[in-house]
Amino acid sequence: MALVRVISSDGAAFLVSQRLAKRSGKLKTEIETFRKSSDNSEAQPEIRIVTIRAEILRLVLQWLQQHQNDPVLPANQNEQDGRGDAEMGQSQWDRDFLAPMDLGIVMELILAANHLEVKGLLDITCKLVESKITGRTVDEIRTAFKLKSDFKGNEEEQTRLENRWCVEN
Amino acid sequence: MDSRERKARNWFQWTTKLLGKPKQEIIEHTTDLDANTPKNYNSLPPELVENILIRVDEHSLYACRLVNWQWNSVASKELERRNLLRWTSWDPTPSSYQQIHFPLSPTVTIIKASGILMHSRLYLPPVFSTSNKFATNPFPTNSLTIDWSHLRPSFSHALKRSMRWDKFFCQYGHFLTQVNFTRFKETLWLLKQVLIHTPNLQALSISSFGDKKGLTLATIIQLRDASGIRISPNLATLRICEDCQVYLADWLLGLCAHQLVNFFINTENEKLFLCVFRRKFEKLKLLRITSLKFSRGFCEVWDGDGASHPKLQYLFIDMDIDWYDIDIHYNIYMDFIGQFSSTLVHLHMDMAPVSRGGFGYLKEKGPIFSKVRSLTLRSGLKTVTLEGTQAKKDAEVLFPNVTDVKIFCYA
Repeated sequence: MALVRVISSDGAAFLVSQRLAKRSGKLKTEIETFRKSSDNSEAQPEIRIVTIRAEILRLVLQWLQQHQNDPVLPANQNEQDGRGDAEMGQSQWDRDFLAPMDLGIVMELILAANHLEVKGLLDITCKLVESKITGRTVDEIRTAFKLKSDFKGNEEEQTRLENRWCVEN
Repeated sequence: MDSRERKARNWFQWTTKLLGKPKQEIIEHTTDLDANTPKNYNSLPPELVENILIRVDEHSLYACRLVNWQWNSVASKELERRNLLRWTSWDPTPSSYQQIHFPLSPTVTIIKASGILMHSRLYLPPVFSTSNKFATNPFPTNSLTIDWSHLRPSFSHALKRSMRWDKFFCQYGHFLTQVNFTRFKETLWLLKQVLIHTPNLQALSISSFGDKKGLTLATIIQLRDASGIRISPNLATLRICEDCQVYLADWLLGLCAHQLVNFFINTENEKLFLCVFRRKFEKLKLLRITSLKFSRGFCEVWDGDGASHPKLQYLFIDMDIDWYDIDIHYNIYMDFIGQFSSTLVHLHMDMAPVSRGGFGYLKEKGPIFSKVRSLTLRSGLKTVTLEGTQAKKDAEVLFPNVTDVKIFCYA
């Protein structure tokens, strides 16, 4: 089994099969680049991901491991409305996988899935974040996402005025 | 055992299961899952925020607009996109009274003018709104039609003053693939702005274009400055109708004649026609000429140089003849068609010159339309037929490979 060594930003190395790694668009490209530039075809590729820490990388690999037999979703699927179909077929495993995570980990997973080009994972994580926004008030969203208002002058007041027609009803 | 420890143990078990035996070499890293969690999520790039917000329902999107600046931009853009998706076509004039009171988009600017007529109100995208940080496509059909004949003069005047067309095209021009101006009494300057700011333009239709002043000194200076502007390389279809100023058409053709594939010209103005046809149309495949008068004057100026349309395949010609010296005019008409004999595949022409022996005249002149596959003749009478006439015999010689002959009746 051809292996590839994936190294996280904080130095943890994961040995995974190339078949599994190639389910990530980014890793696939890296492996192919390595193959082209390397003289020895038997050499084990080593890929350093400088933006993802070990815990998150492990979660992404775990998700890939679970979904290694799913059909690969094209990156531009359903581009019209931006929704992937992955969320339609969200399995019980996915729900259990995401359930214990807090929002911070989910956000990091989104960034990682985006960086590694894992569309299925990106879809289910975005869907989870969406469920934390829907039906909440502005303050609740700000608290949940640890965001602060950075509007200048009367921008916020102006937006509130524009929203009035739908909020007051 | 606390939850973090349990998680760490689970991971180890999982890796062991995955690889058979523990092969992972952890050089140095913390086992605390939450240690490096970002303190806030401002770091998400806008495209990821967008990826999340496209799934959020509309009501919550309005709440998202108030969260912070970044979310406001993304949510506003998404709301605008959804509102516009509901539009089947974009027309500045509202089709029903209901739309006036319930605009589809709350951010659409309504320009009010004096008068109570329905046509005196327009729905326009939020072009001048300063809060609009992302330019979103206001045209779901990528086609913009402005028909000035629907608007009252006082109102159109008011609109012209309030609407900065240059700013409008500067911001939204790149979304447009088709622009139609009807009775748009505007200037060369505007047409120039449209062409410069529409890099994806594929089709342009103008009718009654040009200001009343005609060719003034200012226009001449503008023309000189505008002779070398860059226009959309995809502009392949041009339609010039009715009373277009000759200098405007000439300038326009000078810019785009070499790349046109379809060209429609509807004019009675011989001057315009002749000036237009001075140009070389290297790629032209379809030419549709309507309302042109084939008068003696036309004959004198037209030199019949067919070399400027080397690829013309489809010719649609609907004549408007000068009834004085009718046979001569028919012959001019046939001569005009004759010059395209080597390349034409489809020919659509009038029946009248044919029944007057036009094919016989052309046969004597010599050109053979060897590539013509389909021939359509326009007739004002229902009962016209070619069977058993001299015209049929002449046609068999002139069009040896034609497989489809139709007589199209518009009566």
